[in-house]
Amino acid sequence: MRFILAIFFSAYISGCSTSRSPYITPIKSQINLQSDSDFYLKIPSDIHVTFRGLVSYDDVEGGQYNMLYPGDTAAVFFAAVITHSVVAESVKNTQKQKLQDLADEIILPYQSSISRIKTQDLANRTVQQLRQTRAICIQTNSMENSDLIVESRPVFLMAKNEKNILLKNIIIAYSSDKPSQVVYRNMIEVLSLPFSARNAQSYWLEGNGAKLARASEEMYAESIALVIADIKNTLADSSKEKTFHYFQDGQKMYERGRLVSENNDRIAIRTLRGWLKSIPIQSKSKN
Amino acid sequence: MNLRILLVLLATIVFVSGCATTSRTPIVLNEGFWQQEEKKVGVVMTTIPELNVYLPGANCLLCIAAAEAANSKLSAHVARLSIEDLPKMKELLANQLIEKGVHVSVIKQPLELSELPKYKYSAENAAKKDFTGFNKTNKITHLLVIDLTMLGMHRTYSSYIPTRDPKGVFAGSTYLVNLDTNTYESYTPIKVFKSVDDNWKEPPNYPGLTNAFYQALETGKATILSAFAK
Repeated sequence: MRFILAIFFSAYISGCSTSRSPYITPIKSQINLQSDSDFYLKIPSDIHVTFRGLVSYDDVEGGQYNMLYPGDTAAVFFAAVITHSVVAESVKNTQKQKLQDLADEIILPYQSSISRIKTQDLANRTVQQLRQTRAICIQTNSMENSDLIVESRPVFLMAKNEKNILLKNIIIAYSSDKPSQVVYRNMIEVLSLPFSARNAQSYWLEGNGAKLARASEEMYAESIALVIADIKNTLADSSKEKTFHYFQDGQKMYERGRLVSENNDRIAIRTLRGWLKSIPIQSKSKN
Repeated sequence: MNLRILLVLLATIVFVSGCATTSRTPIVLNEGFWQQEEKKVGVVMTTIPELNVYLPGANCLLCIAAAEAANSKLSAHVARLSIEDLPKMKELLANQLIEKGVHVSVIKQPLELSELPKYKYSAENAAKKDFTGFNKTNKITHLLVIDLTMLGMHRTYSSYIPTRDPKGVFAGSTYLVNLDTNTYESYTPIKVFKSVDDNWKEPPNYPGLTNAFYQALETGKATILSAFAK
């Protein structure tokens, strides 16, 4: 029994560390905003943006073996089943953590360029771009006079082939006078535009990582533009559910959802979870 | 005592060797097939399996009951999913062959592999079932089979305990049998598993797993078509 308890606790402790992709349950926009409403874009206090490796668990195998449990008494049997459950969960988590650690190694050559991309710059340039192109009144310097505070937590995930970057931006919005009452919450995913250069690393790192910085800014701006439209309830939501395809990490990928917007470069879909995902149109036919 | 140990050892060896199932290695279609004249290909599909939650590894009766109870909400959801245009795969595959100038006949009746006799002779790449009867009844030289075996969700177990999160699954094989020799001219095993990279526990609609299922469905369909795309 002591042996079982020892296994239980050691597995419990080692199994605590999980590596999961960002996740959030969406809350549909519950506010009526005027067309001239003022948004305040709040970004994390971290100076640098977060980059990680994009991981897939498609090839994770699980054991299919029979287990013989000790059955001296019912208590011993149940303790053995619980121990087995904890150990199995720990093994699963360890396996996922290893895959994430391995995926994160892809970021190593980019560390110096990533360190030059600052979250404040990302937000400032987004605000500039959106003011110019989409006539959105959005700011980063004064929270007091804003109608709505839009809090953003972006994470950039680089695919194994280094040609695609997926932005996952968690958004939480609340009014400045009632910060505890969330009026909108969602995940916005934006996949980077494709490029034809063969050596992805040289492409991104050219000019001290200027292309990496520019792509990050464009993806971030796209995510914020989608958020503002979703908060204002101006995205189309009447199209039929279907399976969309795109290319990521050299593979044809699929996402089930409804088309909500389309422009020259991209389409945006609402996924089954209610998240928004922006996919490059070019990636339909080329990687 | 020694006899008992020997019997236990024998039983263990039989049990362990019985667990290892042989899976056929892929056979790539020879380019010569396209040059063969007077060939006529029949395209047939096995009965599409019902959408299901597969729980391999939960082997004892109590384990099966416990695993099915633990996944009952997911099973109820999976039953409501759509297989979309999957039943049209044989027509899509037939059209692909027609475009390449092959004479094709689509066999409407679903193929029941269990009703076919075993093939008596052994030869390299020989099929285990005897397909030669199709030669006479359908006047074809080759039979292209789409055989689907698993469709839905897949979650591995070790007795009572899940060893992996559920995944969307599309599994089976597609193969071309020469009806003169009852041998495979091509064989493509299909095993598509698609996972959810974050949280899969989202009852009652399981949007993450539902998306994984549709990813598996589309990838599986593309695999079937790609075997004869070149």
